Amino acid sequence: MNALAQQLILGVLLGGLYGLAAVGLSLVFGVLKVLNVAHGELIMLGGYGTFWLVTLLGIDPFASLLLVVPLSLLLGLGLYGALFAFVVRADEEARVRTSLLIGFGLALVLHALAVRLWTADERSVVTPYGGAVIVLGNLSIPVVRLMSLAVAFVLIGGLHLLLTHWRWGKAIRATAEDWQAALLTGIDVRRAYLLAFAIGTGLAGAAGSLVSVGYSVSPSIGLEWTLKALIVVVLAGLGSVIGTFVAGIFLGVAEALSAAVFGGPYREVVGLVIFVVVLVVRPRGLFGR
Amino acid sequence: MVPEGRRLFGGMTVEENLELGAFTPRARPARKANLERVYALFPILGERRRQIVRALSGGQQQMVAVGRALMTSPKILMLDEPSLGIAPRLARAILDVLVEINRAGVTVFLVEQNVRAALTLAQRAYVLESGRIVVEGSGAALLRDPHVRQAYLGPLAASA
Repeated sequence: MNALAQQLILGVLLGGLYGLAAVGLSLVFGVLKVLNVAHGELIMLGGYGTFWLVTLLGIDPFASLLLVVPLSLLLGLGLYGALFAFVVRADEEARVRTSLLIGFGLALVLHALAVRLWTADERSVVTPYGGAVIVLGNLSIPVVRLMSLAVAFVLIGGLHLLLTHWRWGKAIRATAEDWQAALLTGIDVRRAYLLAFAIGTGLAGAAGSLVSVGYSVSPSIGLEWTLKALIVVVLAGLGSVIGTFVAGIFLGVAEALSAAVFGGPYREVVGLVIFVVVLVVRPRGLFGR
Repeated sequence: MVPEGRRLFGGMTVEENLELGAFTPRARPARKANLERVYALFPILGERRRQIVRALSGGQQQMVAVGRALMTSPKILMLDEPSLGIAPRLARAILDVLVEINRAGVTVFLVEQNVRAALTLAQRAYVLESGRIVVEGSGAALLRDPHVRQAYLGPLAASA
């Protein structure tokens, strides 16, 4: 019983990162109608960003977010301008296909680049308080992962406020709903795309930072994170930031449960089962429009 | 410009839809005043400003579409089939507001298949058939025109 509760807690903590990873992917997909399969590689880059800032400059990993997120935003602006600006000129059906090609290409390039620059070793940020745990009865909660969950909460809340209160946030939502109508009301749709992509990349960078602290990064984690994010996006459906985050936590808990009940190797299976079941039973997702 | 089918942002609130109407830099300064003006024209929208547009009736949604178009302080308001798929009573109410908007100095350019209602309002009217103007004149004159009565207002109207 205790072991199960402990697994559930770890599942929630990991699920928060799934949620954060998925929100970025969901934003880009919902607004640009572009599926960025290199999203996981962007997370990987964020992870290395934090790893090197901590290792070389001795910055606290959570403080490194203040650098990693803006740098990721800039990277997003650059990637959009260099690659995805051409994709969104196509009509919506061609977009997903084209973006898959570009995304896979980008993923391969970033992966190879990371291996070359930083070797294929698995790395993890070491902090003085890294081993600290909060003990509740027989349960222990790793402090670093709990802080990561808190940061994810703050970022998700911030994004929600941005999309509901910022002028361009509203324009991004309007573009996601109906880009032609958005164009009609005088919204610069291309700029809404650019902003959404940059924000999505910034969130990926933030997720990567947190992954490198509580877990570990290597050049090959990208695909796995893209997959998790995709499962969460399908589960949640498009159009709800909070819903996507909740679905991420749900996936984390479901994985922990299946690992506890059926054994460790089944951890990965449950997500794929959810993926298929949701697509068959409720294709627009739990919180989708 | 009020497009056919309204093309509102269904998942956003009434007020957000209206504000997006004044998104361009030129329209932004007058945003507050125009918002008040729209709420004065359609008081029901003021009561429902926080509601999601998709939850409104078709007629109320059409009011939002007209309101959104007014947010740019237009000199000319173009509407494509504003009475399409709307309860007749509400369609009538929207057309009445168009008269009010027109009195306030905005040219109203209306494409409408509800011929009788449109002709009652129109100062100038044109009947298009297969893309060509076949009849034109004042709304009142067209209402009396035998061809128009026969073709658009029904046989009973033609004989009366």
